[in-house]
Amino acid sequence: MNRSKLHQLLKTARSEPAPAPSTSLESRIMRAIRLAPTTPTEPTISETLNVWFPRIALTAATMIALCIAGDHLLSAFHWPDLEPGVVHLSSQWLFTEGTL
Amino acid sequence: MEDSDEEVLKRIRDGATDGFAEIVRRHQSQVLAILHRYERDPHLLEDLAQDTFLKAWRALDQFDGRAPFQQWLSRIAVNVARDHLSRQKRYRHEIGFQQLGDDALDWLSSDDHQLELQASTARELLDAAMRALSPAEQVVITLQELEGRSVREISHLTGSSGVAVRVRALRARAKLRKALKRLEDQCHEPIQAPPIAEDRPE
Repeated sequence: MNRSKLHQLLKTARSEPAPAPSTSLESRIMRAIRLAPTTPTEPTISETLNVWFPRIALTAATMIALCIAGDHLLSAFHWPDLEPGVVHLSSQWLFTEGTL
Repeated sequence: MEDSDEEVLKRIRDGATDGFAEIVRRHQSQVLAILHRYERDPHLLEDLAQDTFLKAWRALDQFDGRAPFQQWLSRIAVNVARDHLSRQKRYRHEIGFQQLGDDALDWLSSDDHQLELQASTARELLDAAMRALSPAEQVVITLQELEGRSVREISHLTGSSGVAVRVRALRARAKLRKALKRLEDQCHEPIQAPPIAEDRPE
């Protein structure tokens, strides 16, 4: 579609008048307002959990994926990891001779 | 002399809740004019108007009077329209030229730029093409092209930055043109003749 045709289309669509409000619209709105609570009700615990659960689950899944990817990377490049240090500390502090 | 919106709102805050009817009376035409750009069905349009005023009523405490009430209400109406488009997007798919009326098809297939186009036909065509756009793009292009609002106004109404509005408007216009071109091409495609049954020997 060329530019002038698009221009004509938009210009003509712009000129379409909006409908006048029906005579019942105002009373209908006021009825809805009277029936509606003034302020939104406090969310229940289950509603709050419903809101938060997907976010928490997504964050946890991302963290797990990052840890797994990091572990694979460390193993692949033979970078020193924490394992020897942890074993060393365990043997020194947790399971020293005579403690068990 | 008629009280200003701010005076009526003050009375409402002081407990005269029926004063909101005055607010509805004053602004219902403006709200309908905004919403009508996104929904043409009169029943749905009034539902959206009701939703807009109900949201305004519930958020009345948040209106701080820094901007005119009309502007604040317009922002709510635009949000209601965008939510409505998002809900509809789930089951409204792009439509083909077969679903368009004769006047729309005549105009699309014609190369005569002087061919008269009725406003309702233009809206029909535009609505069909708009289905290719996301709700946010539809809102931006509608505010810019149909309501003639500036980037700054759109930015205020949608809560997006000026740059985001510009980018979205560019993308929306390109998509709109593409969708209209697709409809136009469909109109120009030669009609396939139905297959002729071969004479079978008896």
